Amino acid sequence: MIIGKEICKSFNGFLALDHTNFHVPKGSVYGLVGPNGAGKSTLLRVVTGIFQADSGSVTINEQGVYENPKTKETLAFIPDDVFYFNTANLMDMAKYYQGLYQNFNMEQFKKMMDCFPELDSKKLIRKMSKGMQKQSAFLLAMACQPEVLILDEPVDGLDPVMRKQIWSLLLTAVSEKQMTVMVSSHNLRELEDVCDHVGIMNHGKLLIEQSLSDMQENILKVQVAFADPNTDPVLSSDSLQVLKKTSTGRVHTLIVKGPRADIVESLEAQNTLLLEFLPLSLEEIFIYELGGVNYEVKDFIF
Amino acid sequence: MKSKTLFFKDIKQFWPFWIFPLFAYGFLLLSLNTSLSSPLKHYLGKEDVLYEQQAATDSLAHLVSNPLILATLALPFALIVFSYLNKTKHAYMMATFPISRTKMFFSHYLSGLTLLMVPYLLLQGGIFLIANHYKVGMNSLLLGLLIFSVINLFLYYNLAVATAVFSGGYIMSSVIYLVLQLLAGFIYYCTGLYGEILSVVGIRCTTDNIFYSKFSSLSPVIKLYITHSMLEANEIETAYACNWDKLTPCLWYLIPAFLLIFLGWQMYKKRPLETAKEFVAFSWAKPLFRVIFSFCGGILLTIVFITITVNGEDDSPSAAYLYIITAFFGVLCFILSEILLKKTIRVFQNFPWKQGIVAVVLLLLFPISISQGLFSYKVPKNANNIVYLRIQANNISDTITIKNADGIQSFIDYQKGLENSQSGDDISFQYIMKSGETRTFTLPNNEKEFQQVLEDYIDTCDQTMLETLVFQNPLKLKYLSGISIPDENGGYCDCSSNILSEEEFELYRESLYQALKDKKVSIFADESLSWVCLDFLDLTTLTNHNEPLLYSRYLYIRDEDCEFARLSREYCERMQEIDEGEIIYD
Repeated sequence: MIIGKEICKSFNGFLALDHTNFHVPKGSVYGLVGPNGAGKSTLLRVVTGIFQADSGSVTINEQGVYENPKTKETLAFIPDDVFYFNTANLMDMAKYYQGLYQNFNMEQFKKMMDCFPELDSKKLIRKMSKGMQKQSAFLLAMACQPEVLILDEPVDGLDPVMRKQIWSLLLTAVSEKQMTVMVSSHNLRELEDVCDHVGIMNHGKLLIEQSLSDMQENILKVQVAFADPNTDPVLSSDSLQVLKKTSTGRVHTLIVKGPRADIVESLEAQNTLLLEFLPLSLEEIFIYELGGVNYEVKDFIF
Repeated sequence: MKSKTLFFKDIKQFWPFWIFPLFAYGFLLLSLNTSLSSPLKHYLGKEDVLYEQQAATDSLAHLVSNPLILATLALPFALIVFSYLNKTKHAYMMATFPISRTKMFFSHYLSGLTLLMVPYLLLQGGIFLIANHYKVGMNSLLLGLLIFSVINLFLYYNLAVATAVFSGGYIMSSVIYLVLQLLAGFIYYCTGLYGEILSVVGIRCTTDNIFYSKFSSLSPVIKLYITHSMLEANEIETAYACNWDKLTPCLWYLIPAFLLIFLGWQMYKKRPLETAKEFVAFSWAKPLFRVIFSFCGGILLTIVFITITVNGEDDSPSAAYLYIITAFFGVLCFILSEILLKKTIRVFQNFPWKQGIVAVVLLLLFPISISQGLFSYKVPKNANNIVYLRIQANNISDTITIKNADGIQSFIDYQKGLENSQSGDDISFQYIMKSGETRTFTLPNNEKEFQQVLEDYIDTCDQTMLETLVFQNPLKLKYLSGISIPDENGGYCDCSSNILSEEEFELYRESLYQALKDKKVSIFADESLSWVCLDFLDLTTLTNHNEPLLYSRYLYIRDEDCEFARLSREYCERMQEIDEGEIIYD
């Protein structure tokens, strides 16, 4: 498992990570989401040992990462902007990785090439398209047989078939080898399909960290209508933590934070005619959570 | 295994950088081979062919071991193997690999060193093989130059590696490398110019002084450049042999070389990768960068400004003006350093004012300390540490050199007396110290007084010392090759062959000695006196054609009836009689 405790990291006085805490259980797929500049990439770079945290610690299986080759042996990282040597083709890179990672499996690498038919192992990687470079990076990372895979925008620039292919390979490795995945992405619909844990970051802090099911249980979309048309669900109940409210006639649509039972109890106490819970997507949770910290879509009238 | 992977990755990635050196080295070796197998050997004597071959080999061996070239060669190889530190994506990728920074540093370090050394050693090996094939017999010198070159390359490469790790970009690394290599020259050059502007006596910016000054150790390429020129033994008997005594001190440069690797390694371990593309990679280095940048830049811009705006000595600026201009450019450079660090022109928010004040104060201390004589030479207390004293005055026809300790001491005393006088500045005293340093003083001269002091000194000299004083070397007169004296028609008689027998020569030498002792001839230039010009061969100085240098010396005859004048006239008459001389009329 990956544990981060009180991580702080600043760049020329700018605090990119502000006492960040997180916990990624073993064998889970952990989605790290947040607005641009929230500190996601910085956090991933601290986790992979690229940056040294100013304070706090990151451990993988109870071992530090920074300047620890043993831990890095179990770790693979695909950054948002992958890099290859100018003169290298995919096979050169594979041989290079083979020299650096003890667990690198060349046979697996060659077999996995079949899943990416467009990749030419003899072609210079720098001459490949961005999407093919991403595929190459994924291929190399998976062939290292890591226990922990860190991904920063992994499917950005890939076509839908390749996206599916990558997620499929990833989830197979998670289920079969108990690989731990920590992934940062803005594509929340895709993350929703693959993640079992989610962390939402903003301003260098982790606002929420829960399993996706818990999170979906904890933030609920409720449609409610009261017998008394003048009843305002926000004003009439102190115990409700309403993130957003819209009303159409007597029907109010609420985004409410809290346990389902408490919400039902609180609303039914006001004589409801209609009480219905609707499923909430990760994207909606993200938007409503950050709306609470003043990061929301603002209307503008020209 | 991992280190090996990194090492061979670098070699595989950067071997194209060998193309240019290998091409250049191949061309040099071909040129050498062509020179040594010259068809001229059919027309020249065996000895002359050997001279030509040795000269060609010596020329190439010195060229490829020139510290300036080696310093230039070492920099790109250090920069390319550590180039990933300047590219964010590349640096981040390397940092995720399961290899410690120590192993990573030394893998890159060794690959760069291999890339640098292998072609160079091939070149040196080629020179050695070609030279031995033609039996030029210079193995000692070639070996000495090879050792010297390897020490140089090792030192420069380590310095370049340390700067590459310290800085976040190619340009800044190159600038820091250049500054460190030439710091001594820069300080001395600026000190000299400021000294001139502030009219400080005893401070001069000459090439010799830069090379031998106490600052030169700060700049390895300057110090080693001088050693390089002295590596070859100068004596005729040992020509093209290595001067091992001069080479041995170069081994001391291995200590800073190893210290630089250590420094580079430590900085590499602590280098924050997020500073790629920054001017300096460490936050602690930023104040240092600001202060050094404003110091060097302030002085340099002041000198450029003064050079452009001041016309001639009469327009020389006052000290106060100089301080103001220096401070102005110091402030300007400090702001510029901040712009470079922050990469924006909006630098006044969170501006490091305190550091700025420190930088300007330090900068102003430089001209103030020069004006207070801190960078001036002191007149040596005694002759103990002086190899010789060279005196140049406008009333002597040539420089005279005094090697005798008592003689040097008498002129030290004389100089101290002169310093209080304000009557001009046309006598130059140059003390060549045992350390190699040259202390030059241009002082006021009272011609008659100086002449008297010099004549008093001549009175105390024996023949050998006198010859040393007048001809700089007692052997020179032995190889007298010609005499010129004025003739009756207002021209001069030039006799260029030495036909003196051994006895006649001794007689001639004795007469010259007596004439100097009796003050019947003088080394002081005086148009009212007739002269005699002696041509002799300087066997200690060889021309490019390995021939002794022909050297001329004027003596002024006070008494035409003296034995020396008579013998000189006789010599010329005899030369004319046998028609081996020639008469030239103005």
